[in-house]
Amino acid sequence: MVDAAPSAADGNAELAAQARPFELGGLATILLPGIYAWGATVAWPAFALSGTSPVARAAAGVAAILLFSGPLVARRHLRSGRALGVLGFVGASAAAWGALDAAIRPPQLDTVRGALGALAWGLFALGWGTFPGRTRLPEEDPHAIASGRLAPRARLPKSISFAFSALLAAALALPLLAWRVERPGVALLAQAAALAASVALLGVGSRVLLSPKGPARVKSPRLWIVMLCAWLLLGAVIGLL
Amino acid sequence: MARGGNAVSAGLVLFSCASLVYGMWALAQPVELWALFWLVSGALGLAAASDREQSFAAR
Repeated sequence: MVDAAPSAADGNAELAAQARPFELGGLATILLPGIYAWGATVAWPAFALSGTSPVARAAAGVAAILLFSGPLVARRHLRSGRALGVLGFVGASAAAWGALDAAIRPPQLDTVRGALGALAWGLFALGWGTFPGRTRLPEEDPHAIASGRLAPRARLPKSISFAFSALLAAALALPLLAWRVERPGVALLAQAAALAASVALLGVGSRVLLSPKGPARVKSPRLWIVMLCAWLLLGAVIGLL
Repeated sequence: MARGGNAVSAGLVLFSCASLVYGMWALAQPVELWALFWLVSGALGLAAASDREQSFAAR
């Protein structure tokens, strides 16, 4: 018992030392994209452009305060922290955009900054989605098995990882390519089609790559393949004419 | 595609990837008809791959 006490204390100290960076990492998944999204899409038009209204600047400042205070409050009071960090931050940002009015009309917007800002908003939402799980060490869970790492039952071959990376790259390329379409009407169609195609590509592609191997020879449905062949044949005929 | 089930499904996804990316790239060009053709081809390829996977999963 005499020997066990220092070792338990050492274990707690070690766990606390491990928990700190883990907790900071969890906060960073919200704060880093949040700061970028705020900087690129709220602070830049509110503070960098001349002649913007003081209301827009005040709302942008409030949004920044809520961005930081939300995760800090959520560590003790999850619901209130989420309300401040998500609804408050988005609401104050929307108020700033409303007060900016003409400064954020499409001709004044920088396409690249807007696209990166939109990406940062998406990552900010994902960061809140994994909060507070990402801020707690899995070893602190009372049901955690602390006897070292469990060996995986199987490992994915490298070819699958490579194919999944290619799939992800294609899914990311589609919305980026849609930004090249500038004509009104067609641009909106391109954005909608790119988003739907990205989601479908990731969904179907990951199912095909990761699902267990099916029977070697089974009768598979052919309706869609027949339609695809007919469509390609039609395209070839029109192309030749 | 050792675990990926079926080479036909993987080929369909690969075809869909290529035709969707090409179709989206071509949508920014002046002639949109072929862009739409390749986008629809990609969508049909994905539908075929999804259909095959669902039928394998149901067995």
